[in-house]
Amino acid sequence: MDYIPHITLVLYLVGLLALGILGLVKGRQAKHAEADYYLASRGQGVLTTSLTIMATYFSGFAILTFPGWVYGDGVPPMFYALNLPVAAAAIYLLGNPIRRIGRKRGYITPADMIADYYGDSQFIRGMVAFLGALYVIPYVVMQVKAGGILAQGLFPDVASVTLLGQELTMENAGVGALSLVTMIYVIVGGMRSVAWTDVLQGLLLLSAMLLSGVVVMHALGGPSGYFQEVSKLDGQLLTMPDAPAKFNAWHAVTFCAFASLASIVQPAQWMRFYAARDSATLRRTAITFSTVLPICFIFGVFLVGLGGRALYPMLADGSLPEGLSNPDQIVVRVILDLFPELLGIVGVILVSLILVAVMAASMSTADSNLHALSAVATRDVYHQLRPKARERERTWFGRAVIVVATLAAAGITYGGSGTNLLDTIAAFFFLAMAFSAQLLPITIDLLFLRRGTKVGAVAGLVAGMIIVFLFPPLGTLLFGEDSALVSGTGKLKALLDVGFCGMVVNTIVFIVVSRFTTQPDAAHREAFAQDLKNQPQQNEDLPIFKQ
Amino acid sequence: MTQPPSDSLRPLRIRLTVVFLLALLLGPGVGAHLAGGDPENVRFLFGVPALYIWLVFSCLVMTSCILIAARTLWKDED
Repeated sequence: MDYIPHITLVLYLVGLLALGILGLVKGRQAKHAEADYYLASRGQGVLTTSLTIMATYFSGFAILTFPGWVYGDGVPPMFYALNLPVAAAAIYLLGNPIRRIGRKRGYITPADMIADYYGDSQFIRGMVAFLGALYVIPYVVMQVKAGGILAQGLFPDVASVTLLGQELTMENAGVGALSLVTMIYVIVGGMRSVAWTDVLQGLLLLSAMLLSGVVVMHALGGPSGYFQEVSKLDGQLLTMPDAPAKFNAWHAVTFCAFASLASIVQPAQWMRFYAARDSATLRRTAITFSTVLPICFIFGVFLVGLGGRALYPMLADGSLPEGLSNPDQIVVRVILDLFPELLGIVGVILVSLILVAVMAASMSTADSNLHALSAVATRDVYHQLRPKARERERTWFGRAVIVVATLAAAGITYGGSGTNLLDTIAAFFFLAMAFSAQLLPITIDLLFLRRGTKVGAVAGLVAGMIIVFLFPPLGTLLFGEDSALVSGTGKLKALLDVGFCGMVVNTIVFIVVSRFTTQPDAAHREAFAQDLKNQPQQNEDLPIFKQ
Repeated sequence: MTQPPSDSLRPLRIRLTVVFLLALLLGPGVGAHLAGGDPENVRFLFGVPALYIWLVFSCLVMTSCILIAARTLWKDED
């Protein structure tokens, strides 16, 4: 029985590598190396698209942090789940036109499309790529770090070893193993391997979320016993707080409306829209996303957080009970205690599966972002510097980016613990969605309005980014904790989502500057609008976007 | 843009948009304050905290809007 976690983990990792190799084999028949490596030849079906979008949407946050919030603050944080239907609607309403014109014009990265519409400006391409990198890089580093912490949780009793004079903990070994496996399958199979492994990881994650809720409810005597225990909790946990308290209504509404959209227009998701086979795929993905994910949250991990508060009440002074050093550990604590007790050997196997699922959540986010980073670096930077580079050369450059980024992420995690570098990356991670949200005004403009200008788009992006930099934790790093500016933005942050604040300024600047500068010419706008509407012919030999 | 729905579907599109946005705004907003009560007088419905039921209801409304739109307004093009 002691070896069950080891066997589960090894089977999982071998499964990932096998899917990576399958992706490589399948990709060898492709006509266009770059479109195949980055977009799986634009042929992803419903199952793959749904699960890769869901797995990329959620990191370890879904199964650790979110229930941790519920454990600490009760029902109010659960309202953040209303971001899911908003994201689901955006998958079709934004994703389908992006897919359509991406296929027609051969786009691969978000910047391909944005730079093409606003007039092939290197500057706007660079800005979009930079915003993408601000989202992607902190995510890769933090997910690699999370993978190591989870490995430590899975094998808490494994002692450290000394290798070449360096002490290696289980966390270090976890970071190394997970980085290596992720790097290998992303390199060999590109988007196809990433998406196929996301299917496995997504299924594990969703099952774990739902199953853990069911078991907690069962442990507390079924639905009636569960809610009887919950009803004894402090009234603060069962009612909505007034602003500016944490999880107040204003923050919840702006988060649900805009953070979800920010996650949908980040580079990895944007590329998944290009990769979808057809409109039916995205329509069915929106349906799946809007039904499956809310069920897994509202009837799954949320109930673990709330039931966990009944099972492991906080102490009278507000501190955490024994066995919990952080609210994020509540799911792991509950399953470790309840599953083996209630389900015996099956419970032990399920515990291992769920802990691997938590790891899968981190890996599925890390792999998608690594892959997107490779695309952005290749298409938006390398190809601009070496326009004559052939497709195969660019694809190999992209693979080299993955190796360097993975090694850098693992190195920073290993050597940077407690240093300024890791703290700075963590600060960027907390504002990653706020940066990504700055792409929304230009995305809406080029998909639906087409009234903005290149200068307006750049000015809006710069203004939005500056606003995000003023908020903590980045503002604190830049201006210090005592700054009046940071104190002001800190108060605003408690009331409104940071991305929303940046986006309001971004939109105003975009509109005002566009009013006084020159639009792309009418014929170009008309051609773009036509391509947004028209369907490519069946079996059309897809063009490769030229700059 | 997505294929525009025919004129006969325009009222449905508007209604779905309004209901979706209302659920998004009222869900965590005024509705949650009214449904949940206050900390000294927490509301329950069939033994379940009313705030949790309100969350389920808000999510159900938003998801239903998407399901209806997906079946009626969002046409497969390829």
